[in-house]
Amino acid sequence: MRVALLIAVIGLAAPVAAQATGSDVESTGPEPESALAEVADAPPREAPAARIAVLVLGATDDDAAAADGVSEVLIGAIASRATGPLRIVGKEELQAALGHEESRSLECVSSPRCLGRLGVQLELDEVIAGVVRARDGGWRFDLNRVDGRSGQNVGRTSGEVEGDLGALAAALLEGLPSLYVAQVVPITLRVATSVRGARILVDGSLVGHFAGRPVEVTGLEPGPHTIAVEAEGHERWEREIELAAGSERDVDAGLTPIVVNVPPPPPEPRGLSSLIWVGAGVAALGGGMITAFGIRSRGQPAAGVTRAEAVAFHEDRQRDARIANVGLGVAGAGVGILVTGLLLSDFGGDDVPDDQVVVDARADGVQIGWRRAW
Amino acid sequence: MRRALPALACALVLLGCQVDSDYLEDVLYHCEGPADCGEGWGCVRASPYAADFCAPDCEEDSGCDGICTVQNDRALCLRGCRFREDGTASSCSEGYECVRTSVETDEGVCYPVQTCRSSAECASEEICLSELVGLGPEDPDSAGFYCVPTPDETGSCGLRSTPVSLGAGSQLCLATCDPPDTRCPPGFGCLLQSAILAEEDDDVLCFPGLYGVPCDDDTNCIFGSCRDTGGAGRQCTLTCEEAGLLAGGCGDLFSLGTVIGALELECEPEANGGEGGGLCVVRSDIGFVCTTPESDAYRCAEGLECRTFPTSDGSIKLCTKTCRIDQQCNEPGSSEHYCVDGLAGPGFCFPRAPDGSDCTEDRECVSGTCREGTCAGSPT
Repeated sequence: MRVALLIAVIGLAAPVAAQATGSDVESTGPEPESALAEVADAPPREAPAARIAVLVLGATDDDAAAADGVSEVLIGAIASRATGPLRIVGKEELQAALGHEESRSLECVSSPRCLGRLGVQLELDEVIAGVVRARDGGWRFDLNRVDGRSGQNVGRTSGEVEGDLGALAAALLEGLPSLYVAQVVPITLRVATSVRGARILVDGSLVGHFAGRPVEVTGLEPGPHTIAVEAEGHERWEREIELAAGSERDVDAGLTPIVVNVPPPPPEPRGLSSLIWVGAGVAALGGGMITAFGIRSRGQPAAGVTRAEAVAFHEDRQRDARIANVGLGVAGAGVGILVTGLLLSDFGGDDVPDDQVVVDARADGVQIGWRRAW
Repeated sequence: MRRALPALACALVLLGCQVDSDYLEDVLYHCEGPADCGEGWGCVRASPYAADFCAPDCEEDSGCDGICTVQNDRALCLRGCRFREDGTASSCSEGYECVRTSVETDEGVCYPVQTCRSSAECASEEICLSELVGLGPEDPDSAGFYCVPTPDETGSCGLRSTPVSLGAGSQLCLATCDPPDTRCPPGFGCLLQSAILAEEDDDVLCFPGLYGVPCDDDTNCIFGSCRDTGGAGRQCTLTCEEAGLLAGGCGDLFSLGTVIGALELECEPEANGGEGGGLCVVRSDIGFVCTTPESDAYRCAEGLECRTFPTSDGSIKLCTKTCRIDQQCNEPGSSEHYCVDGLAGPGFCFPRAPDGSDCTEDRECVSGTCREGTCAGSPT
């Protein structure tokens, strides 16, 4: 069974870094193993040194020694990559911040969020942390580079290697550039619009149709992109947007219906108002009443009647006259309605087309006709 | 437009059919009773000289452009008319003519009769009333009288009329009245004095409206006007002063007393409240009835007294005066009365009886002959 080694990077950090970079390595701790190692360019020292913490832990206690050894190698390699002043924060200070508990340190190394908090707490620019574990005839490792300000994982390398601790160190060094390879962070773009079935195009390519829920587009490169939305009967919507790495963007494309200036249909002729017929009917009714009862009201009593009979006759004629007068009013109202109907009627007037000559071409000749609009 | 239509409708209604009611007012409607005339109108009795006709109700002091005459307790209006100086009259409605109600004024009433100035304008069997009152056709006041029928060949007259001798063999059908219904044709008054002596079923004459004739209104009077004389009732009369200017006195007027010897027209100074010297009033002469228990209308002429005489069925009051000889009972030159001897003391004046009357001696008869208990004609 292999013995898992936890390599304490701290103790080897200064000489390895000095050797690797040729720069001064300033130890901030009382002992190289437990103190914070600082690697800085000298001179000049005007620029503030970047604070980088390197913490490699063994997955088990048996792996701790190997982890410490690997840490030294790793600090040296990191220092050699530095282009400016560099200060390495060692394992002891980190574990002090974590409460000197190995288990808690191991837990935090596995969590970018915890490492981010650690970076903020110790004002770190970067944290490189990982875990190594011995396995049958080899090693397995996992390293992460976390931005100390954002807590975001900006680099990662992992793998398995056959061989001894040297093979592990060589694999780590080999994988170290991967930590610095710009990590492709996925971009998420969601496009919504107001028209179902609208076509969504990104950089001219159709990426989907809007079906009531936003169309999600992934795999876009950071940078400017052209988003267009098209739908029948609507004006094309197009925008140029800048997408940052790892960003999520919701776009709501409000489409404007296309207003087509269709000439309104010609008003239908109103024709003769029905009031004309109503008025004519009422007037005719009134006229009939006038004629019938008006003539009766002009009657005279027959000769030889008594005055009492004449009085009764007169009362009848007065009744007739009243009815005739009502008829007069009815007829007047009818005429009024009739006139109103005439005023409201549309007789066509100038809209009536003139007579037309119609020429109809046929297979057997030409037929010429005449059409009149009545 | 909205305002014009209602205005047009109102104008049409205002200009609409209206029933002419003139024929109800102007046309002559005959009747047999008030029911034939309709509400507010009554039936004027014009018979026997015309057919009864309808006239509107009226009140005595107003509501009548003419004379408001009482017809069977109902006041009806006879439309008035006037005579011009040439004798023509203002027009009445068709069927009516203007009948004179006074020879002293130009007033008349529209009445459904044929008017005349003389009998020549009447039918052959009719007499113009103007001649009855002594007016000739040339007299300007003769216009507006009307034709009165005479008895037929059998000597009878029509309904509500009776033959009356005018002397000289001529007769006239005089209308009759039935007191207390005193309705008579225009120019006639109900001669109440004749009712005193008439039998129960006898007709009472409508007498030409001379001075002294009883009246209800001015339609009854040809002479004078219908006035309340006080106890003697309403009579066609005039004031004593007017009578004095006109004829020298009441007794000199052509009056009822002129025609009927038993009556006299005298001045009653107390009548009319004494204005105009009183009124000329008819008085009962010798032998005519005098004041009755029912009325004091029959007052005796001056110098006479009302005395009660026994009859076979009771008694009667007659105007008379005491006498001892016939001459005391008559005006000088007259012999119409005689003196009935008293059983003890002076006798009483009585009129001589006409032929045919009962008598016991010659001096009781006008003819002076009593033959076999009856006044006879000329002595044989």
